[in-house]
Amino acid sequence: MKSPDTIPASLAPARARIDMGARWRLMRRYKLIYLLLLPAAAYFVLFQYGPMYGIQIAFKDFKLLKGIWASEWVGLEHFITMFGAPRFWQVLRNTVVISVLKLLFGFPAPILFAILLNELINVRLKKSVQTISYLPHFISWVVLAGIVYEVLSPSLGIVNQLVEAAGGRPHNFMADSDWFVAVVVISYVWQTFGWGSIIYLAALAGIDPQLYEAAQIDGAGRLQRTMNITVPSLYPVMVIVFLLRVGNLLEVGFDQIFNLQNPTIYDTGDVIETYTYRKGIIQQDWSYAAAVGLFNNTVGLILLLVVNRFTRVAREFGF
Amino acid sequence: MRIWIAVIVAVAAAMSGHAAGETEAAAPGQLEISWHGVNPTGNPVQEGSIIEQAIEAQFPDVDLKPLPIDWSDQDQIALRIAAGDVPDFAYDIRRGMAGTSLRQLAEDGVIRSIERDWLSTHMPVYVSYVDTNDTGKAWPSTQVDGVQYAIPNVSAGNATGHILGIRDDWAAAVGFERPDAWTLADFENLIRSLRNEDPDGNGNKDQYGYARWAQQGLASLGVASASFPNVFGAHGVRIATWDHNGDWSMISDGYREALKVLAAWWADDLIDPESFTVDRATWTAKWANHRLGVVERNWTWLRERAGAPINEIRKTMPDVAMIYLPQPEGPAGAHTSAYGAATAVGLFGKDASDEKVVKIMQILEWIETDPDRHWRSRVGPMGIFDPEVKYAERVSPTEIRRIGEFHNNEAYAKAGMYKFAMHNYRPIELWRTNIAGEVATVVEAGVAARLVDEGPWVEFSADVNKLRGDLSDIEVQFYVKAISGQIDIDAEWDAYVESWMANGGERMTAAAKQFIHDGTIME
Repeated sequence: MKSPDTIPASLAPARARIDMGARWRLMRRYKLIYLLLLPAAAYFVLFQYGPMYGIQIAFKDFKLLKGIWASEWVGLEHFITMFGAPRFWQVLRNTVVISVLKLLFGFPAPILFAILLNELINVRLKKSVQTISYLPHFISWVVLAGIVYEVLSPSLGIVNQLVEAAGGRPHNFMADSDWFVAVVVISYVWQTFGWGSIIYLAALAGIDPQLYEAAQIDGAGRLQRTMNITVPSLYPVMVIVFLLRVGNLLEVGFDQIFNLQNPTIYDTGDVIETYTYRKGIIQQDWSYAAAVGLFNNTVGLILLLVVNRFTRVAREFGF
Repeated sequence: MRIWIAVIVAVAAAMSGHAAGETEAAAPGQLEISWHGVNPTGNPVQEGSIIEQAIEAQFPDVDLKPLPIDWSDQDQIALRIAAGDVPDFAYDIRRGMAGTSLRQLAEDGVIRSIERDWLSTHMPVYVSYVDTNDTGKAWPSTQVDGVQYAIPNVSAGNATGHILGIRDDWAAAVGFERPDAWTLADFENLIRSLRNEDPDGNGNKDQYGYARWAQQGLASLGVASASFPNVFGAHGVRIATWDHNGDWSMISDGYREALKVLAAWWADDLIDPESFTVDRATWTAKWANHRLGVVERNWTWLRERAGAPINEIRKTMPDVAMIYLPQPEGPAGAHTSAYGAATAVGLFGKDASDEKVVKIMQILEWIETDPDRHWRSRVGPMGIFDPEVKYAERVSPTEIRRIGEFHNNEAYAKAGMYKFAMHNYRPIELWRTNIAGEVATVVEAGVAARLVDEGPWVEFSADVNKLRGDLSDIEVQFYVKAISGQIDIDAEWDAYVESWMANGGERMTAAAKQFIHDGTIME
């Protein structure tokens, strides 16, 4: 591994020193390749950056009749209302809690799964397990949420049947705020761990087998080989994946929460994305919803910039 | 090459337009009227339905365009409106915009105003029905600062209150006979027997005596008129209403005591634990599978009709009947609650011209002032598509045989059921044939009219009204947690009220008191 002081002064400043003339010459030379970028660039301009002009309604009293431009400016009124509303802080807390828990359990699960899968000798079994674990990734949350509701149903769900068989009383998990977060996190891990393990399996495939052979000759057991060769080899991928996940910390996953939640568990299960949707679309409080959404995106942007900085540092450290 | 590309693009555009369900433009000289009325849940009406054709035959200068979306799909309706796509006429559009008020719709420019004179001129019979059954809310609930914005609607049927009913075979199995008067303790004994004495005799403890009526969607849990109304009524509480002093019913002492009664029943496993999370379809399936014993709803749902509990039971046990019960007496007497008498309105979209508005009024008057047309607008030609079996018998006994043939979703859509009706317009003389048997004895004896006072009409500014969204969330959570034993009601009560006040309740209460006492609207 390279140590920081062995890296040339800095790559970034060196790149910055390329003058504009040279850059244009490069672009002209590879113009056909740059042309391939056009559809993607057009997509972002039209559908990502273009609609951003609507952000201004967060600072206006938006009226459908007047439209975005003609609606009256109200300054920071919606933000003041937002920060003064206890419900907003509850929703923000829920967002952070669910997000952190998802990161806490959802991040290591695919790593663990990939390592376990890597240890399987029977290739057929390995492939079968791998394929089955990917399946939930391809199922929409609309369907998955239905499955979760069925599995946890107090009258027909298998979980409550087991509870009853054990002498307990059926419990409506989906109407219990204390259980809802657990349901969200567990169902999230279940849906994503298989698909998420692909990147780690790819990294594992790149480990030199001679390292294992050498360790085995030196008398290292299976667990020691895993802990001293497999896990350290995954560090670079783990760091990058972790940093990217942190960058999206406030994106809890609208599809999942929206399809699983119901009004009985809003105190722990209502997150910024669902709250914004309800306020904006259902209750037609567009400006307030835009203010909440803008706050969410601003925090997300800051996190992304911080993480981006960390990623550069990590790269300099050889990750 | 360019020509071929142009041809391909043109064909693709034409096909995509067709695939997206674009409809043909109205003929020259015709008024194209987009219409968003009611439909059987989950069955959006197709354009060109039988009922639409009948209306267009009577009004040849009109081309009706029913919105091809489900009336109960709040999200989709709200999205259409957010995009500025507002139909010319919408029945009870507020149902699709939970948390919004008529004032907000008017101020946002979603709907247009009308002249009150137009209603008297073009809908004289309908307006006289409204005036006859009005409890004082019909007109103010359709006006903003004295300007008329909607067609008012009242429902004599809905105002009869939520009645309890028990299937007669289970009542007999647990030795229960219909009392003339009884108490909440008696009612508790009944649901305890139903839970513990295996009334269906299948050897399993798989039935509940009592369950909350399931709404169409979980989000409508906040619309709590169907939430154990006889228990709350017995405590003098009409859910989600302001009293004459400007206090909200869901933070009242009576409400707290009613919650404690329900929590005790829940703790004893007497209430279906899925009461708060099942949708209507699952709830209906429970009736079909003989899992529930007591139903609680207004008479329009207790009689024989598609989706009603008694019809579900009879799918496999055709001889079962319902016994309808009086309200059990509680600390505040024997009362129940109901939907408000002024339950819905007809609104006009921002782009509807005066000519369209007048024509819509004429169509509604034409439909609703003739018994045959009134029924056919609801149930299709000759009443063959529904539910309204008794009426169909009166109209055409031979057509009854075709119910099996037409009683399906496709038939609903093709018929255009309910779409062009003022849904809650239920003159008792037109509906008398439906109030039959046991239901009739309860309704006509006035038992079901023992309603908790509905409270006064309270008007809020659009900003203040927006507070209802968060308050409703807080109420629903406390309501569920309290009943299902997740919290100690007495220990958490003060924190609940404090949270309710802090999240806008205090401002809303002040606004309610100001309106009730001064008649002015607080900004």
